[in-house]
Amino acid sequence: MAEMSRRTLLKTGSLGLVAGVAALSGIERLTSIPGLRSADAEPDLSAIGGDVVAHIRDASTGDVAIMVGTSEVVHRDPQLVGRLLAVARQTNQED
Amino acid sequence: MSSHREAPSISQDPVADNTDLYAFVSPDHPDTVTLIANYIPLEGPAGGPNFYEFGHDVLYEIHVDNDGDNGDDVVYQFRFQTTIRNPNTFLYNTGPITSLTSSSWNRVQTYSVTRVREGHKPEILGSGLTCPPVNIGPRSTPNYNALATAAVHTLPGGIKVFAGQRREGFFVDLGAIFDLGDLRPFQNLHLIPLAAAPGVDATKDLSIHTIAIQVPKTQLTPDGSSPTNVADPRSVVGVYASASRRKSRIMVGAGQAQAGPWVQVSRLGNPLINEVIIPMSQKDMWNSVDPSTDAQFLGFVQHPELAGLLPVLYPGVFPHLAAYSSPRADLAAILMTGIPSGIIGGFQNLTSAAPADLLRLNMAVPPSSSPNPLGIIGGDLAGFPNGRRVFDDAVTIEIRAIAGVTIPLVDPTFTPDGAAALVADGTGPGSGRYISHFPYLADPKSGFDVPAS
Repeated sequence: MAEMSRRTLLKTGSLGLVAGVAALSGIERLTSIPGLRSADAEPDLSAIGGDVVAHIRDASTGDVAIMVGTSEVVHRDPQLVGRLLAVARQTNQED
Repeated sequence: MSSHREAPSISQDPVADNTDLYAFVSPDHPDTVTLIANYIPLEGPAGGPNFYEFGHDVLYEIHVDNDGDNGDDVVYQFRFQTTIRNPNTFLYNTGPITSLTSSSWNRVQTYSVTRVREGHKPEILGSGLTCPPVNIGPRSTPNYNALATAAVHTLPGGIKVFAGQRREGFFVDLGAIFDLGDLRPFQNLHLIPLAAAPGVDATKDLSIHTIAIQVPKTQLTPDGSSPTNVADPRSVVGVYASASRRKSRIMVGAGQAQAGPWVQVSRLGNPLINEVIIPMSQKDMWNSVDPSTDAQFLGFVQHPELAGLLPVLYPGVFPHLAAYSSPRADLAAILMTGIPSGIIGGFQNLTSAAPADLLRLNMAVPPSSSPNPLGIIGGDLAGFPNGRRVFDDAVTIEIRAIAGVTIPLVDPTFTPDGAAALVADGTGPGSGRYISHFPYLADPKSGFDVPAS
């Protein structure tokens, strides 16, 4: 479950949408995100309490909705969104 | 139909589709109110091998407003779990199901009931409560009534609860009504006429999944008082039911990952509102928003499309209705605010001047000793639109109201057309659909007995 959740975070966050998550292959892609270290994205998900989904709500402002459990918080991080969009563009080109 | 498959999105999500809502003073326990929310439309009793069941990923809720602000004061939440007892068989049951603990029953649903009161922490009223199986047939469920009876649970505080398959209580001639508003008994007068004929009850053999809860009235009033005065605002509650799903859902192999807050995908207060009042382009949005925002839909209630169609579909039958152009204050009161004092002698169920689609029940009105399925327009103050009983003829009541029979309540200068008090779809509360005690809807018919549905 932890591995599945980690992928969920990466895949959905990288595209901003649930659709198209199969384009990424797994945790090995993590290190290809510039500036993002593995340790940054390998938290103890069992402590978080379940699957985590990130949705880029507004790329222009860097707003990312983080959903976990029954909670949702909007996190503003233009740099993170920029990195995720870079992966999305790369993935889209590969498809 | 009342709210079966009434909007594009929810029609593709049956387990979350809220089909009917009932709220009434329990006739056999008049110190209590029974709230019933039905889901999963048009269940054919033979619908196996994966028979109908509640969604274990759906939050089912019944909301009660008791202080007239159109907001939640008491909410009953229901969450379901599904257990496969034998992972090595494809069968729903491997032998007769003779009890709720029968080892031959393979796919079992249990549920929890949580009460959320404004200003209080959520209270789990019960958990691990077992649903009955569906009614399969004489070999699989040889004594279905015993199974259903065992699935009526008693919770602390004098509450009863039941969740499971029941026989559909809502009756309607679906085939005719969806054929350009046909009412078979009057179809000789239709724009495209046929010989008049009796109505055909399209749902008489079908099933639904019921969540029923019976609660002492004192647990619904704002101050714990027992409602005895019809004129007292504390006697009136506004009720709606809903279904919600998690905001994000991702397909992961054979399962799903879900995260985020609950998002409402279906709601229901009064019957037929989203069905025949709200335009198709806004039905999904209507399902997603809170009733407290219903002012945005008020225009559709005040100028219902169906009131304009009746004179067209039945030429010459509704001339007074055709000429009436004022906003329908009668419908706005009945459906969106409640009926204020002074309109109907000895009665009111106003909750707020602000519009919201809530099923409003004046709990101080005692159960009728001779109920009339036409409710208030039939002279029975204990029936719809004072709450709604399982046998109330919602279709006829609302057709007649839209046809103008209730306009004189607010506009004495209007004389309804003669047909307004007569139109009906020709169906009625048939025998065998109801029982006289909780949960008031009868056992579902078995798939063995209704193999063709």
